[in-house]
Amino acid sequence: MTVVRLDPTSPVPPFEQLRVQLTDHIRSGTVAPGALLPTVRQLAADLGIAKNTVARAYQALELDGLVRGDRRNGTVVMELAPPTSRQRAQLIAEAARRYLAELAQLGATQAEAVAAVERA
Amino acid sequence: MTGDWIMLTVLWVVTAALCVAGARPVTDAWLARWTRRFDVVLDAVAAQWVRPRLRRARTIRWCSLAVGVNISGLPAYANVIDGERASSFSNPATSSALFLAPALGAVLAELLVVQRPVGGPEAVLVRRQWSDYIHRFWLAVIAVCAPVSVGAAIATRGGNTDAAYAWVGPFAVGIAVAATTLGTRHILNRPALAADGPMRSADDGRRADGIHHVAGASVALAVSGTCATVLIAAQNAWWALPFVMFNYVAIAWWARLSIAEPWSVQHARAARA
Repeated sequence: MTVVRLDPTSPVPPFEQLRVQLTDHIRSGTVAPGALLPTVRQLAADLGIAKNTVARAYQALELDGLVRGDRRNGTVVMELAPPTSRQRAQLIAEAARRYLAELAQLGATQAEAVAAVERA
Repeated sequence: MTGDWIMLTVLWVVTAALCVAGARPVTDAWLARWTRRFDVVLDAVAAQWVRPRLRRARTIRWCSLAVGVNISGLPAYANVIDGERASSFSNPATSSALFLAPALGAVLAELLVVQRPVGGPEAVLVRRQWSDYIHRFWLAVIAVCAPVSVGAAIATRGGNTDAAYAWVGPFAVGIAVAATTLGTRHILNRPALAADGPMRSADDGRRADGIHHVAGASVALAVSGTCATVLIAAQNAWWALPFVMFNYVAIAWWARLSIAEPWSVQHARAARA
């Protein structure tokens, strides 16, 4: 079962947490193409956040080509084209930035970060 | 005069019995039947959560039925006050209250539910849809009643003595549609209790239970209202006899949806996937 979780103590805004998790789930295939995402109301109620926050996240996903939304059918996950080399580089850089931001919260040094990647 | 008071006494006894029956505690046996009916798996915490909510919803629904019984029993009250005018209270409008009040009561029982997630902010990425909680057949019954009742109301001739009540049927169907729409939407958009486990199972069972009660009362209201309008338009024609029987079918469907119809939200979701 695919779940999104928000961390209320995180400095990352809920919109960004939601957008990132949804992007990860869609790109990794845990949410399959053609799947209907929860409505804005439902997801906002379940997460305890404003409807506008969810709507913004869905809009961002639509701009990235990950979902298609319409008022009648709701928000549907799109079939993904393989990323171009430029998109791939962007995604890798984004993932690296998130990883380093988490490590910075833990007070880890750059050497510790690199060593953890090499061990993984 | 004595007969009129006996009628009223019967009405009050029935009202009291309905209210008392609705407010009785949810026993272990009742809860076990409910979990089997909706394919729910409860642990001690989930059972403790769902039990008072089932009781409160049942109390509201049965008290609403008691209100409907009293409104449809207005002729009995009028008999005591002014016997000559009592017959004017015996009409399709007052008799439709027997179904109208429970339909509105079923929706009220759901509107009064307030629930918040038990854990942190988390959500399952599966959309809740009405087909997860009830079979489409029942909503189709309500939908079919709309054109039938409107057509019968339009076909009612002006010389018909009951023509003034011809639009009771379409009005009843309109209320049934509104109740089902509002009730279903509210139930679907209620926050989820949990992403997984017995609390999610209890939550799904409670939603399915609520939608079945709303749909059951709405089906009874729509079908009985439609039958009333068709019978007015038919003016005792022989071919309208089935519509007399449909009233009893409506009551049977109401009872079935409210008490007996089994439903598994898990299976419905799996079938959709």
